[in-house]
Amino acid sequence: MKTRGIITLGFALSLTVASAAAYLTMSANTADSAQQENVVDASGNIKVPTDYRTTYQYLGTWAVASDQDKGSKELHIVYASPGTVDAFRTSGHFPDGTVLVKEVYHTATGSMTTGTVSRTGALEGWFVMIRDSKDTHPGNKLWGNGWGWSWFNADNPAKTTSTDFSANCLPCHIPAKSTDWIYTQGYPVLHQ
Amino acid sequence: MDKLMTVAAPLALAAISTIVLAQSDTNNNPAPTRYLPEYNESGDLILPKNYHEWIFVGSPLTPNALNGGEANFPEFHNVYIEPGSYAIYKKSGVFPEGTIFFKELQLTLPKENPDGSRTEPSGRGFFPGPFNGADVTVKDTLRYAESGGWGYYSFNHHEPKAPTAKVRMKVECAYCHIASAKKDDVWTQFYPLLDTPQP
Repeated sequence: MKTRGIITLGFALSLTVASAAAYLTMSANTADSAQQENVVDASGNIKVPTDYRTTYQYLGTWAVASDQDKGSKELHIVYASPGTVDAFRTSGHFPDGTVLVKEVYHTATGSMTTGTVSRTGALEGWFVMIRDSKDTHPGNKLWGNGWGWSWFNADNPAKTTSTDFSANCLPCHIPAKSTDWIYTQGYPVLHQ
Repeated sequence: MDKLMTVAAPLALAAISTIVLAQSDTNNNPAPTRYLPEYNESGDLILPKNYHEWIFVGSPLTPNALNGGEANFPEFHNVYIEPGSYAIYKKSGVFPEGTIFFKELQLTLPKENPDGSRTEPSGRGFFPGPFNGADVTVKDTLRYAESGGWGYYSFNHHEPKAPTAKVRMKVECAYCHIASAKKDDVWTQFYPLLDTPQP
């Protein structure tokens, strides 16, 4: 009697877990497609996601050194679409649909109570990349090597000025070829 | 048996509803669940959880080499705000009680040039290296009345981060914030997300 009762309870709970898992999987897929619509259309035209600042995860910052003055002349700040960090930690790769956004800022450098500090100034623009390991836009020159690639000037986040990823984008990524063209070693959050 | 079923069925239903409700909240983008500060029995602050999923605020850079070899906050300061607190701040313009800022410190890769920079294929710059401890501030106007309503904590300036930390004296941290930070002892002037929050 007691045993059967426990089995019944166990069965009810396992149903619960199964339903919940199915629901979560479904809603994760829905979130992916919504996220995609926000960033890329059917022809592969990319735009800067509107809500990345409060919904994406921060990956890291790169600083370009100033030529004459102290500190940095540019700060490049990189974000990944929700779920990227967990997925990368599990598989070691960026899953298809991953969106990476890199902001490029001019800087202000000054002497503060904490020392010589460089911080962000005016925004110059954005790089956006979208993972596409199956190369689903073979006729589009902004897609290839497993990614969609585009640069946007700060005054127009909806229209790229890039015309050919292999000429405009790829050259700077060649040293990162072995890590899916991304400088993942600069993002310790991916390797925790 | 019947009695157990009457217990089991509502339990199962409750569990489903809870998960579904929590999930639909996320999809509809209402206020996220808040993570509030946790203290141990000695009153020390426990290292906040899941801060890598919080909202990134900004990352000033103070290279060690430009700051006498050891900057006060070496070197990238990756600042995050707890998302539930930010949702309230965005609407009200006031940091709510329990707001947490998390500043994770991150070293740059070893220097090759006198200013601390190095030269890589992409050019001369300061390249992100390993994490290097963290500092945290918590808003609680009663608990931290002595230091302007915020508590200041260091969870080490090296890894691993300490699991708990004791509150710092006013002169160690709060003093500079009270003197020069733009809004409620927070340096909003350096972070557009805080200075001009988008609704």
